[in-house]
Amino acid sequence: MNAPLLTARNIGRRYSMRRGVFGKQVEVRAVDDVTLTIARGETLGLVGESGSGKSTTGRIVLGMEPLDAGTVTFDGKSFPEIGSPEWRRMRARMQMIFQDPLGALDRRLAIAPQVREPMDIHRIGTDKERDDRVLELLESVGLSADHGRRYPHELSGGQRQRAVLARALATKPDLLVCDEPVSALDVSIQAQVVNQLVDLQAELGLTMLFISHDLRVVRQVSRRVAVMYLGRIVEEGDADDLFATPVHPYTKALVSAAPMPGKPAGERIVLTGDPPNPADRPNGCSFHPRCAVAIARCKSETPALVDLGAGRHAACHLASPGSNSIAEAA
Amino acid sequence: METLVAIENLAVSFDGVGVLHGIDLTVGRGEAVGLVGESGSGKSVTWLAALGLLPKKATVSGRVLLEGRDILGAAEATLDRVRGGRIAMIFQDPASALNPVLTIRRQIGEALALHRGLSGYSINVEAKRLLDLVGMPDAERRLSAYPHEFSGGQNQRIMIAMALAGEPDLLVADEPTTALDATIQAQILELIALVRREMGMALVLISHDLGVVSQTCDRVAVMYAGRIVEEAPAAQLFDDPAHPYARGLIGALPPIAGPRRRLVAIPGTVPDPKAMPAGCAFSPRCLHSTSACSAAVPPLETIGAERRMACVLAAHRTMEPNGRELVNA
Repeated sequence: MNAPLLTARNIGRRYSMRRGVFGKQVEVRAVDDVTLTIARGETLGLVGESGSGKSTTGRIVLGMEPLDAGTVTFDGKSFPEIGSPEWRRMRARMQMIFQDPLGALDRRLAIAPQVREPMDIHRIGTDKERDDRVLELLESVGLSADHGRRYPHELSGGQRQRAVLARALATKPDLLVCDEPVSALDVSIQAQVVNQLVDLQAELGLTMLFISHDLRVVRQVSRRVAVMYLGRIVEEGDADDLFATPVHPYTKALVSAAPMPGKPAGERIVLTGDPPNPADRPNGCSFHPRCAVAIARCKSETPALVDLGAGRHAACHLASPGSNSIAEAA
Repeated sequence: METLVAIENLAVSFDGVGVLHGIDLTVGRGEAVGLVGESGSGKSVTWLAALGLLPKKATVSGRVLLEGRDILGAAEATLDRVRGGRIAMIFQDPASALNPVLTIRRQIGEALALHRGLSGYSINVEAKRLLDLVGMPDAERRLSAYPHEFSGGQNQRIMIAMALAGEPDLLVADEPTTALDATIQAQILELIALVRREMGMALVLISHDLGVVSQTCDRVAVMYAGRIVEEAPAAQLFDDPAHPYARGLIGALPPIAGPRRRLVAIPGTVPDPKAMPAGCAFSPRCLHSTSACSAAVPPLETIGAERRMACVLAAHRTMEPNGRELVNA
């Protein structure tokens, strides 16, 4: 594999939060000791439920969020200070798309000038070149010049998200961070955008961090997947392997909870307990209160992410290297 | 199966713009029926109209028979007894459906007083029993809590408890798990299945998620642009969808195992209700459309045991029961 384009090592992000007006300060560890690398041309899928820290991780690697711990290197260089000219130059090489395309577009501006804007900001090419590039970009995401003259409200949800995608590609970024890019779209439209992303991966050799709660969509676009729970990566591995034979009890529950048309619901693992609260994190393995196979050690000791071989990593006391499954303690 | 609710030729329009164009749907006693479709297909409007919950500017026609009696346009007093007492409804966003300044006891108690005529101490006992039933830990103490003290999944449990307070014959759940995380969604679906078994209640599950519907329902109706385009037993619909739109919806779903294939995206978008295409509303997006499609709206025809479809291809389908020729066409 070639040199990684993006490396995040032991990154952490804390927020402090007050409960009520006179409440005590509580520390929320949104991201805790996360390490991930993405090779050039590779797509890493990041899966997790709300509050798992997946969006914060995405914002950190884009340099939109300061770090409390760890380092991020992009193309071999560490991140310049946020707001500095070097940071701006680096930011042109990384772009992002979010869940809500209507919120990401200016309602009072036609699509074409919005797609052109990043080139104006980063002073890429001449006036003529920029105009030509806009048409090329629109075409690459399946929109016509006529769409470029329309306003956001005149486009459908899928067309809007593709316009956002065209704009994100304007600076020829090396890295694209997609945070729930298709979650707000209807299934038939979702497929249009997912196909578009897969095509662009092949054509442009895009490197992507693809954040989503939808396992199916993540598998469709990524070869490697990391699962986050309460700010930590609990399992990582090849997408097909990970969904076929999940090792971590949380991944197992998550995979089995993905509704499968035609599959009876009986095989579903239903976790007890509430969704995790990042402000009130359990000691030890933060999944232990909802885990069916937890042992005494899980309550006191945080498991490290260990290499299980074949590219699989899991953070569970019951996972042992080479076995690719956890000891049946239940 | 004995019919509990029969919707006949239900149509709805807002300011002269038709959004529902004649729905025929029956729900048997104790049956679980799924209603799938994308945003704007009219799946929620169908039930809001049936229960008289649409704003005044909506024009509603047709019949909604509850055990043979038409409740469409019935007097408010009758509807008040039906809503909550016979047919209860829960929605996607439980936090906004609950009153933020009243305790859970007051809110469940209101339903118990209204539909079951309970009062005083018996309300407390019954409210606690309902919270226990929906799997709320520490029910006694949590009765005094307010909605903001609960998580999204717990609030949905409270909504289900309130819906069960009137001991309804039918629960209409409109996207009940869409706002919830995957593991919590699994809990709520499990809970709905459990209370349905225990109370012998019928269920209408409205969802855009084919997976959720297929795992919970016996029979599924697929809606598109204000019409039912296909109706089939859940397992058959997913193994062998007949209508091109239903096939498109299932083809658009990325597989979770096996080889990755290019997703079958349905080209174009859902039509604007103000500018509906002539004939079959799906024809501009359909790969199989012919001149016959824009001539007239295809009726919902029987194409097999318990199967109906609204498509000009229905005629071919009855000749070729497995319908494979359509898939390869």
